[in-house]
Amino acid sequence: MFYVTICLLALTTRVSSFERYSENLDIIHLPGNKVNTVFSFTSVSDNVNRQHFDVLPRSLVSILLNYLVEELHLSLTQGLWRDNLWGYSAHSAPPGGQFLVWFGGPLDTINERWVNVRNSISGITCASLSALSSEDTISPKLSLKPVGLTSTKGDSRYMRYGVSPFEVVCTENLTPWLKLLPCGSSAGLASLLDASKLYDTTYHSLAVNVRRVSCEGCSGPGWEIQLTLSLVFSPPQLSGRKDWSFRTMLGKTLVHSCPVSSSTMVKVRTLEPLDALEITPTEYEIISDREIVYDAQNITSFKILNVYLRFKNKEITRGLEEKPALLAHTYISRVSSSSSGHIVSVFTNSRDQDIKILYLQTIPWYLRAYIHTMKIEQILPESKILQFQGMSLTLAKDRSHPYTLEGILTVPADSTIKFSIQFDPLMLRWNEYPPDAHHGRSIPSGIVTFRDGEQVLRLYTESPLVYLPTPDFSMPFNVLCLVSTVIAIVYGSIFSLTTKDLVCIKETEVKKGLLLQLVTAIRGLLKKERAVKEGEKRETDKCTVEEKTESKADEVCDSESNETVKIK
Amino acid sequence: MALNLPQSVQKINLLYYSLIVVVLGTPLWWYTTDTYRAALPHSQITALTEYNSVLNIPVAVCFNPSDVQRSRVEQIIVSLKPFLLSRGGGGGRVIYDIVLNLASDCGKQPFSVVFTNDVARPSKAESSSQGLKISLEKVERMIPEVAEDIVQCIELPHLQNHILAIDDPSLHSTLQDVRNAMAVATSYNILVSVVNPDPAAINLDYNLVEGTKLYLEPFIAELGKVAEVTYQTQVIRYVKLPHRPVKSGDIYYLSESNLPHVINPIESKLGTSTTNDINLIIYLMEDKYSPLHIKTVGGEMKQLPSFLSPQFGAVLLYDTSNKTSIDHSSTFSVLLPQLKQLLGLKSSSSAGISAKEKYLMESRATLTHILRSTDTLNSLIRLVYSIPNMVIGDHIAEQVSSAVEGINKAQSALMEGKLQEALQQSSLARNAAEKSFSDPSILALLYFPDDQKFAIYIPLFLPVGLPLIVAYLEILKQWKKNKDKTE
Repeated sequence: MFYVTICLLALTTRVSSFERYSENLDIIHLPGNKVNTVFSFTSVSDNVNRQHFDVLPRSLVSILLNYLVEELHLSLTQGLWRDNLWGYSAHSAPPGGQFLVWFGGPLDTINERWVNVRNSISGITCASLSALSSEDTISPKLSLKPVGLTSTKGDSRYMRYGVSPFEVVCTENLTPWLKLLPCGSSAGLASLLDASKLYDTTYHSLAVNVRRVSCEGCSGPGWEIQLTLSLVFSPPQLSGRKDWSFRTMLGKTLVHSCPVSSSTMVKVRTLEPLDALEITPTEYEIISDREIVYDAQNITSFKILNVYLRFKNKEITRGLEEKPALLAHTYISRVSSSSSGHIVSVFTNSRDQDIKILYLQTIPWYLRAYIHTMKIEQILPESKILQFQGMSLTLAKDRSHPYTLEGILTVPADSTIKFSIQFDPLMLRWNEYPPDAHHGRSIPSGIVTFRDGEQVLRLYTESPLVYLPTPDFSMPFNVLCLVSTVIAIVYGSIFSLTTKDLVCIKETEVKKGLLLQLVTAIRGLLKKERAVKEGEKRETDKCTVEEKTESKADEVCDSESNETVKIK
Repeated sequence: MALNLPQSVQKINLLYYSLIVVVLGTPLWWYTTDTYRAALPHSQITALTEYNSVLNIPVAVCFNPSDVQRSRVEQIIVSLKPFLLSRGGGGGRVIYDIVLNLASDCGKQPFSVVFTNDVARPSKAESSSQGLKISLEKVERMIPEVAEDIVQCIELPHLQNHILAIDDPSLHSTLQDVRNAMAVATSYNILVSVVNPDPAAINLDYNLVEGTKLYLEPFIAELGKVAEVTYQTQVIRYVKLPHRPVKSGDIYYLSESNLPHVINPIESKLGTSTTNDINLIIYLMEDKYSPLHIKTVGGEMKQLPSFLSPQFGAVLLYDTSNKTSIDHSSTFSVLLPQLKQLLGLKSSSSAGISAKEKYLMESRATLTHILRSTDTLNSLIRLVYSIPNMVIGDHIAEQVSSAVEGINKAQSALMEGKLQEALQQSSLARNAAEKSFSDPSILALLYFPDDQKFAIYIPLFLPVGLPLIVAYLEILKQWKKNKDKTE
C-alpha cells in the first residue's frame, strides 16, 4: 500500500510538471525557384513553475514571470517577404526588429515593465530593442489582437508594440537564440543551422513567440514558446541548378535528433506533382500529391538525413499561378528632403469580390502629419473617393509617442485603392539626431490584416526611408565664434571712441621700435628709387595719426604742418 | 571719427566698462557655465572613516549555583574583560566588543558559556547544547586561556578575516575561507543545474522537484532573514568536459589542476540571470567513467568527485552507473556544506544553520555593508573633488545623506547589540551609496575638454579684456609720470 501511494505521488508530480517539446522543419517551394525553409521549435508546458526548468528556457521564462508578461512576439528580420512573387507566409514579419508584448498585472506599472522587458529581452537575444523608446511604442486598439489566452481580454492598454526598422540581424542574434533550445545546436533540427549559410539568403526572419494556451488536464492556462526561423533560399544561386539538398542549401546534414523532443518532422511541399521529382531518401510518407513528410525522430533508419530533391524537368518554373488576393505597398512621394511629402499606401484586390481590410500605420512624431489631407481614393479601374468605415486615431505628441492610425476599409473587387496623407518633416534638436544623421529615418511598415477564406492574414508593407533635414552639426561652434567676433568688434570700437582720443603727433616724437625703424628704412629706400625713376615729385602733406590714450591727449599737433605719414 | 571727450569723462567711462565686466559679465558667465553641485555632507563622510564601528557580541554566561556563587562568577567576568578587550581590538576598522552577561537560560542564545564542574577533562573546553562548558578549575588557574576559548567559540578570527579582507584583498590568496565566500549581497538565488553531456545515452530521472523540496527548501527556510534566498533548477544538455577522465587501475580520475576548465563550458550555457546566483552544478558522468575520483595536487585520490569554485558555486560530478534516478540525499549532502562555505560560513558537517552561524552571517553582512558603503561614499567625495566637471544633482545628495544616516544608525544599533536593525539599516545605506555612486547623471558632462572651452571663450574674453587692461596700464604709467614730475 505504501509503495502504491509513493508511485501515485510520483505520478502526480510528473503530471504536474508536464513539458513537451517538438521540432518541425517545413520546406516549401516558392515560385521563381525559391525555397522557403521554416524551422520551428515548440515547447509547451502546463503551468510554468517559477523554480523548475527542464525544457523551457529559464532565462526567458524568468523574464516573462518577473514582469507579468502574458504574450510576447519578437521578430528580427532581414529582407522583405515578397507577397506578390511568393504568396503569403505565416511567418512574415516587417523588416528589422518587431516587438509586441501583452502584459497582465496592474495597469499603472506597465510602462516601467515595458522598459524592463525590452532591456531584458535585448540582453538574451543581443538585439538592440532597448533603443526602442516610448517614442516608437504604440498600443493599437483594433489591430494586433492576442493569439493566445490573456487575462485582460485583449484590452489594448495592456499591450505595447514597437518596430525598429534599422535593426540588423546577424549571427550574434542566432547564437543566443539557439541557447534557448533544450538541445542547443548540438542535436536535432537546430544542428542544421550553419551561420555561414543562413545569411546568404534573400529573406531571414528569426522569431520568438510566447503565448498562453489551454491544455488538456491543466490547472490553468499553459505556456507555449515557439522559436521559428524562416529562410528563403535560392538554389540556382547556390549551386547553379534548381535541385537542392540539405548539404547544398544548409551546409549540413541531420545526424542526431534531439532526445528531449517528442517529435521531429521534416515536411517538403512542392509546386510540382511528386512524380515530376526525385526525392531521396525514400523513407517518407506521402501526405498529398505535392507534400511529403519524414519522421526524423527515428533517425536511426536513415543514419544521417540529407534530403535531396532533383527535378526531372530542368526548366525554370513560372511565377505565381494565381495572383494573391490582396497586395499592399507603402512608399513616400516627395520632392526634396526639406519639403513636405506624402505617405502613400496602395492596396490591390485581384479577386472578384470585395475584401475588408484593417490597416494600421504608425507615423513618427517628427513627421508632422496633417489629418485633413488624409485621402482614400480608388485609382483603378475608375477614380472615386472612398471613406474609412471605422477608424481609430491617436495623435502624436512631440518626443512622446507617434501617430497611430487604424482604419477599416473595403477594397472593391478587381480594383486598386490609394491611401495618402501629407506630412512636413520637423527640424529636430541637434542632440536628437542619431550618429548617422544623414542616413534618414525609416517609418514603420504598415500592417494590413484581412480574412482570406478561413484564415486571417497579416501583410507587412515596406518601411520607406524618409530623409530629414539635417543641420550643419559644427554650427554651434561657428555661431559662438561669430557672435564673439561681432561683440569684440562692436565693443572694441565703442571702447576706443569713449576712452581714447585721436591725436596727431610729430613723427620725431614717436618712439620707434626696431621693427618700425626697419620699415621706415625700407620705405626710404623705395622712395629714393621712385624719385630716381619719376624724377622730382612734389611732397604731399601728410599727417601721422596715432591713437593715443588720454594720457597723451595734451600732445596735440598741427595737422597742417609737413609730416611724413605713419599710420600705426 | 573722434569724440575727443574730456579726460575726466574718459576715466569715468573706463570705470563703467570695468564695472559692467566685473559686476555683470563675470557672474553671468560664471552662473551660466557652472556645473550644478548639490552640497554633500563632506565632513560627516570623513568622520565616518575616522570612527571605528563597534560590534557588540553578547555572550550569555550561565553557572550551576551548586558549584559556584554568583558573586564569584561576576568576579570572573570582570577579570576576563581585559583579555577579551585586547583580542577584540585592532581588527582593522572594527572593534569587537565581547560582552559577557549573566543569564538564566543559555540554550537559546547564539553564544553561551557555562561555568561548571561537570567537564570530562578540566583543561579543555567542551561544547554542548547549552554552550561552551568551561571547568571552574581552569577558570581559577588560566584566565587568558579561558578568554581564548571564548574567542574561538564565537569564531571571532573567522569573522575578523572576512572583514580584514575588505581592506586588504591580498588576504584572498592566503585565506581559503575568505576566498570561497560569495560577496555579501541582500539576496541570493541558488541555481541548481543538472548537466547531462549526452541525453541520448544518460537517461535517468532528474528528480529535481522532490529533491529540492526535501533537502534544499528546509535549508533555505533556516537561513531566514539573513538574506533573501530563492532557488531555481534547470537542466543543461550537451556540455562535454574539456578533459576526459584518465584510467588508473580500476578507477578513473580527473586531476585537480584540470577542474577549473570544467566550469567554462558549463558557465556559457547557464543562461543569464537578473539575480545574484550561487551555482550548484550536478554533472552527470557517463557510466563508463565509474568510479570517478579526483586526484589532488598532492597526488591523493579523493573519492567524492566534487569541488568548489570560489565565489561561483559548487560542482559535483555524479556517477550515473546503475541508477535510474538521481539520489538527491547524496547530492545535497555534498552540496549543502559547500553552499555553507559559499555563504561565508566555516564548512561543518551539519547541514542546518545554527543560531551561532546565523549571528556570524548577519554580523559579517552588517559590517561589510557599513565598511563598503563608507568606502563608496569616500570614493564619491574623492571623485567629486578631483573632477570639477561632475554634476551632482539634488537626488544624489539626498541619497548620500540617507546613506550616511543609515550608516550612523547601523553603527549605533550595532553598539547596542541590535543586530537585526543594524543589518537592515546598513543594507539600506549600502543600496543608497551604490546608487548615488553609479547614478548615470554624474557622467553627463564628464567629458568636456578644456581646450574646447578655451576655443569658445578666447574669441570673447581676449578682445573684451585686453583693451581694459591696456587702458589701466596707461593710467598707471601716467600716474607714475605725474608723481615723478611733482617730486
